[in-house]
Amino acid sequence: MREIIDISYSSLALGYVLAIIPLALVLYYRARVAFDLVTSIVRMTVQLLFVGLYLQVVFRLDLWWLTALWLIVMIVVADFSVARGAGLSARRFVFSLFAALLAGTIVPLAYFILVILRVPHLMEPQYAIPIAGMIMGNCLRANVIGIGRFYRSLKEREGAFLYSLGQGATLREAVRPFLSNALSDALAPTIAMMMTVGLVSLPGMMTGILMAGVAPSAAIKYQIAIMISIFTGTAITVVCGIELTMRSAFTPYGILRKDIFRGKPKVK
Amino acid sequence: MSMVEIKDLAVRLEDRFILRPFSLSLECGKTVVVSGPSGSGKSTLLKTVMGFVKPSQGEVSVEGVRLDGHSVWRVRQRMAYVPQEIDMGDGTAEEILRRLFHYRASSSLRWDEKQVKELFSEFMLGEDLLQQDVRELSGGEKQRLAFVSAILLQRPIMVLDEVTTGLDPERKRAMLEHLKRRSDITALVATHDETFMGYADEVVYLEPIASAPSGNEETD
Repeated sequence: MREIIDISYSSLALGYVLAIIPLALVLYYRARVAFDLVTSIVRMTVQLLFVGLYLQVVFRLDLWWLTALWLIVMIVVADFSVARGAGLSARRFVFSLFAALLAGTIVPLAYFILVILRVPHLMEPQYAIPIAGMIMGNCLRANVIGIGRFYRSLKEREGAFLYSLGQGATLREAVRPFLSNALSDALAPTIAMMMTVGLVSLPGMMTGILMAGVAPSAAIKYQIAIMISIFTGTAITVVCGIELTMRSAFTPYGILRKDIFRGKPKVK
Repeated sequence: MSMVEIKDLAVRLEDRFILRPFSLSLECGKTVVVSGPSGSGKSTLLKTVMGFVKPSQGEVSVEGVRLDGHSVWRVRQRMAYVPQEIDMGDGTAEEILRRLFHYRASSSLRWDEKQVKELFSEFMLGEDLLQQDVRELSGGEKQRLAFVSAILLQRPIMVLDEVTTGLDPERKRAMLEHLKRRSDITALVATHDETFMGYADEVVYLEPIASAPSGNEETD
């Protein structure tokens, strides 16, 4: 196995040339994303430059609190992204979503690092940052789907919800069918990904490890462990997210507060 | 004993009433029909009694307990509500009915297939309907299924919103006879069905409200 080839900045500049193809297609067909496409490329570059610099420092200093700080920053960003993506009030749910994302990230991360990899320190940046990043990225997507659909379906099917309350159901009993559907919807993409992994596409972590020059047998072991961690993190985050946000989403009479909704959800 | 006591209850949306100040005392075992034209606040009154709409003034007491954000959960366990627009959730009729028996409020009840079949027969619902998806049922079938579910819950108070509207005379009579026979059930009914009024112990009229908004009650 060979060491990974570093991309020089001049070679990276050539990489941007490739983006001319989608830009030309978008302009030719007058798709309305031309501005967003350019903005997103610029934003991606700036964001990754900063992240690259920060991670260089984190890796070099190897301080547990600096790694933990990085994870907390990621969770805060994910927190607001979930609220915005699901079309919900960040102000009302910010602490509940933070706690849910923290639980959904820390539990599988700790298991992966301390039990599976047997690395003595949880905040070892080489492992903690990429593994937490992958778990959190998936938790974020799942939460946008799960929590967003949970509250939207409660709003759209208010009649069914009130019917249950009108038969004497507790709040928890009345929301159970909605929670069950939201959890299924949130987990479905991860399940579908696990069904086809390796056949349709090679997942990110496995690709990274293969390119780093590690044997495929080790790469698949990492991939299996990360998939299970992602699935676990997703389930924890969605259930905790719904359970915790529920505390401030209903009036004392069990009626869904209308002011929890903000703007349009990004995922239908 | 007064089962439901409504005192000077009103609901306002911004500056307009959607339910004008209203009082009523519902005695045990009686059926009281609240009638009035569309937009007079009949459904709003029932929703307020169920705690789904917060009143702007006045109060509701059920079996002597004043309805508030704390007591509402206990109070709802003493009532069974059949709304005007029925959405019972997803699943077959049997799944929906069985779900009721899993509620903590119904922990003393047991699923009795024989009783369910007898009630289906009484209200002219085919047994095969138990296996049908409730969202595919007709309006009349949903009304009768929701009425059956309210009976199965064995609650002392029924809150019924236009429960017989659109039913043919035979099916309507089956429901009304059942209510008439059951002296253990106190019913608060919103309807403009004249047949129902004939069966009621008391009929109360709500005055129309000019340019009343609908379906946009204050719920917070």
